Amino acid sequence: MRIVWIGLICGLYASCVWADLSLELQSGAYYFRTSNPTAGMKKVSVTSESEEGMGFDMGFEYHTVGEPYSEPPAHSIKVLSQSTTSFLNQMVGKPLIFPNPFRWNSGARIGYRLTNDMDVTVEIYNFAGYKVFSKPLKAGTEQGALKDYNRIPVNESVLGCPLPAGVYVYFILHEGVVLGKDKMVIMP
Amino acid sequence: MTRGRRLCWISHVFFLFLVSSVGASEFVMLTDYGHSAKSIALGNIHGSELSASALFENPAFLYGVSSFSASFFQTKFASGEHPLHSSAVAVRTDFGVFAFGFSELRINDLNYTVTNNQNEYRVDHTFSVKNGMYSAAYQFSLSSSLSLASVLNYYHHDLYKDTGKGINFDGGVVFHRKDAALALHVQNSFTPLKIYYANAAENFSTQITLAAQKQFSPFTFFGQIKMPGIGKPYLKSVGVHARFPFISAFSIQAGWKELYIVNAAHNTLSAGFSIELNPLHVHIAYERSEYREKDNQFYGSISLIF
Repeated sequence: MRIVWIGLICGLYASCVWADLSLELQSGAYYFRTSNPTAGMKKVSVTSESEEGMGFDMGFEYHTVGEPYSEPPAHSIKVLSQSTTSFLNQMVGKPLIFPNPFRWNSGARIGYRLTNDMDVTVEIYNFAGYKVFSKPLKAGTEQGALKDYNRIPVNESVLGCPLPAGVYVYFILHEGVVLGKDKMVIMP
Repeated sequence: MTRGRRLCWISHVFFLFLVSSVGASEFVMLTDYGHSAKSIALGNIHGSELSASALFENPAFLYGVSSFSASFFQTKFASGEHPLHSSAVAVRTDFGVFAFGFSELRINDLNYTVTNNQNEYRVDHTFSVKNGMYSAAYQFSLSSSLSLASVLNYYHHDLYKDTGKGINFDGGVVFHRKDAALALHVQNSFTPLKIYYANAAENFSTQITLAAQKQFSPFTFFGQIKMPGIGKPYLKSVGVHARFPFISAFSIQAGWKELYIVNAAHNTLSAGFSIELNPLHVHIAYERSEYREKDNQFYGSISLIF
């Protein structure tokens, strides 16, 4: 009886793994990051079922943009993007604000490096998760949406009102995908 | 209750109003986000529970403490990185109800940044910040249906190497009957309405909240209007609480609230449930969240009511 149960559980697990792979690795182009952070994104084209396994057998690591690298469970490799635009448009490293902490009347700048000119949205939330600021930046025309190192000013003239002292979380987004985030501390 | 003593209390409440100065709020009041899961589930209604947690809402509701109460509240904002918790105790004496409590938000792993040779930013070290509030309240019943209370709040805001400190008073009054209540709560009643840092200050805003509740068994309906400060819109909250006779230890709540954050009013739907097995009351609340990484927020609180 025990063997039957073990077999049943193993079968269910195997079917889940198979279902997961079959859902996530269909024909198309897939983009991954390798374990070498400077190597950038890697592209794998999957044209038939026989190539499905190739995606992870080649040693690519699962990576969520803006998060540290992590080793995935073998069956949970996820597609980073199926969009060529997203493949080309990435943030290198993590966005940081300088100075941090800072006084509101002197302001600060959020700095980050982009691999291309790209549309970017900056969002700021208070400590409790309420959105206090959002601004879209047009690719190639505004500081913050340019290839290379960007520095976005954070001050009253940009936000339109003073922010109370405390902790805020800012996000840098591209096409709704979080490229990076960090926290800033405003002194009175 | 002598006539003179009653007049003394009434003049005390009027004094709170007279010295209230209104102005733009800058300091972040943790009480704006709620300190009881039941209250949050009902749309941040002040005075939804007759326990020690009333200390952080409308302290006049401490009239419901028969002998002793203790309350504990916790939530974690922003993907669990910003924990807020509070604790309060209340004791009834021959002279009225005394309550003490604190509330604390602590955020760790904040990056202190510097620039490198290319004028790009890098992390030098990490630090923490803490926003704390310590409260002491006294509640007194003028009659079997009229309760008054005052709270002394001490605010302590640690921001890197700077610390803000400030003191202020809240006042509350509740007129309550068996199936209804009308409550007034004034927060930050006395000047100077400031929290002082080493080289700067932030303003406290005087907040006035009018709340009402009426029971139509098995439902209790709540409504509230809050004036968060001059030049800011009135904030409305509504909530409904349902307790069914066939399972009286279990109740559910739903609410809607407006909250003024920085420069705009935000509104949120909430819901929750309570399990009340005297003397232990457990409350869980759920709220929609605007946060980019998490669209929901959970709150939990436990109260002991003797």
